Amino acid sequence: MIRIFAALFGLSILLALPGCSSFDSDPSTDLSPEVLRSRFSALKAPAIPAALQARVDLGRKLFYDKRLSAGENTSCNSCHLLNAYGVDGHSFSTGHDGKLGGRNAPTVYNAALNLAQFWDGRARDLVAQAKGPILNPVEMGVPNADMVVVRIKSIPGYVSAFRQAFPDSADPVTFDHFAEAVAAFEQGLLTPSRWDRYLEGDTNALNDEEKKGLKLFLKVGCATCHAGKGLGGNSFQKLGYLTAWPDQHDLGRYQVTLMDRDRLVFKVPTLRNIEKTGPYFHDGQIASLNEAVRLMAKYQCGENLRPEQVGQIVSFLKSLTGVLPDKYIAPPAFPSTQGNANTSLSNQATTGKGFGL
Amino acid sequence: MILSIATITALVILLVFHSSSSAIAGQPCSPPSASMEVMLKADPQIKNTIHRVCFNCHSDQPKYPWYASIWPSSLLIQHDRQKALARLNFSQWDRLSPEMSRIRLLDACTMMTEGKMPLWYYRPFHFEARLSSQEIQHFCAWAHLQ
Ligand code: HEC
Ligand code: HEC
Ligand code: HEC
Repeated sequence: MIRIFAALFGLSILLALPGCSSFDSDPSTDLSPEVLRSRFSALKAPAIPAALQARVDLGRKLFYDKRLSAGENTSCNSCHLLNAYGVDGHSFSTGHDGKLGGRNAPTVYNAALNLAQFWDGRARDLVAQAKGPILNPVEMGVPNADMVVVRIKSIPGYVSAFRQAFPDSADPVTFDHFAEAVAAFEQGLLTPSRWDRYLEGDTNALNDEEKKGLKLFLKVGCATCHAGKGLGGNSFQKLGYLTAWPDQHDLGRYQVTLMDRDRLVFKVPTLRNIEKTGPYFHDGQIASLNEAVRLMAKYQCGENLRPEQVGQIVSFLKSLTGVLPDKYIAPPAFPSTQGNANTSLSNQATTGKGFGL
Repeated sequence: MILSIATITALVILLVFHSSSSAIAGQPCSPPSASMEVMLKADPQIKNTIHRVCFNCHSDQPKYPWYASIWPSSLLIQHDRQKALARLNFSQWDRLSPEMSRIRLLDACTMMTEGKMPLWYYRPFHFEARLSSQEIQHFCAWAHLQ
């Protein structure tokens, strides 16, 4: 009986409390780099091991080469433009998986940090991912893995490039090696930014407005999901945690696991370069970053932010924009088709013209 | 007189029924293999600590007291749980990368060390939710090794 009274008494106090922010359970908003490093870590520019250089160079060629697609008109770079932060700027690219309905093309920059690839995480890593688009009928559309190999072998320059990239292999031109080379190249697509200098201890790397934004970012709870090296890419989370998300078309990870709890669960995207990778969300329906932040605060954190608060968070997010590695992504010279005769695929015009790079 | 008692009774039953269907049902469950203790092979003491002290708010398997199904406490508990689960859910560890797993565990260690978790207003009603300093130290030492 006493407990009942105590409970009721406690509850009435609780009801009188104004809101959650008054509990001291708010996340820490300590801005010192040392404290932040327990939740975030700095990204370093990639160092390519000498032994992998040939493989990376091959991967770069494959990434850019439109001749590998059925229509000889599409490369990875058609949807993941490396000189535009790895996106194409459209709400939907023709989807990798037509039957799921359209999804926005995520950036390939810093994708190497992701716990899995695609919005729903259906590819374990970059190697598994790279096998998807080239075989996808609504994509690069090569009918099967063997045809990819046939096509690559029809371009003599590639055979020697594969041999150099996989020197220990008796039969270097394989579909697996194609994917490994593309993935090796993507491993190098990392973009450190001012934020990383801040984390490493240079507290002048962010200005006052950006620091205010960072504080709000922490206080509102964005870092619950957007933390770690990529500020995202390291967990799957429900979209619409505290309020149901308006667009319920795409069930996300449910399509991979078929578990009820995974409805509307998506891989949390990285916030690195977010200023440059709109439009936003898996459906690409939100063009403005301010609006994307407002929606996140409302649906994921249960907070209605004022426009100037949204503006501060956006200022902070802009400090995550890195410098593109111009040299690393410079379009390569392609192996020529010359001297090759008779696969039906290579009989089409494949001179390499129209690589609008 | 009889009528009003009947009305009140009906109302109470309605409230209990209504709130229990929303507060208790909650979200669909994760498989046991997805839980933190299974995925990270936590030792029995850590398992005991989090089950006893954190699971009501931070897992798919809350053990509700009777008043959890009665308005208005049902509403509060549900609200807390929603916020709490968005931050930390020990039952869904399979959704986290090793990096995020480490971040969550260190966060949990910090919250316990600073006495912020479990929430202060929860403690008076839950005598089992006391944490000894040995327990906290043990959890933190283990978290730092993950
Ligand atoms: C009465 C319910 C309740 C219990 C019991 C409880 N928590 Fe929480 N916890 C919450 C709520 C609610 C929040 C979200 C607070 C907010 O958003 O302001 C939270 C948030 C957290 C966070 C995230 C804080 C942050 O900075 O983002 C951690 C970590 C945490 N709890 C750990 C624990 C641990 C460890 C235990 C057990 C020792 C525990 N909690 C027990 C309700 C609870
Ligand atoms: C026609 C457009 C298109 C082409 C061509 C294309 N992609 Fe994609 N890419 C997408 C879309 C759309 C998604 C998201 C699909 C999803 O999540 O279901 C995606 C996802 C990815 C991802 C996952 C990123 C993440 O954060 O999850 C990577 C990596 C990637 N593509 C690399 C490549 C590579 C390598 C190639 C060439 C072999 C390629 N893409 C060709 C449109 C394209
Ligand atoms: C509970 C986890 C969670 C929290 C908290 C959260 N997010 Fe997100 N965020 C996600 C998920 C999941 C997505 C992917 C949504 C989708 O599928 O379209 C996302 C997407 C985004 C995007 C769009 C990224 C893109 O490439 O399209 C931005 C910007 C963003 N979040 C910013 C924030 C900000 C700012 C906050 C704090 C106000 C925040 N998020 C809080 C989980 C979260």
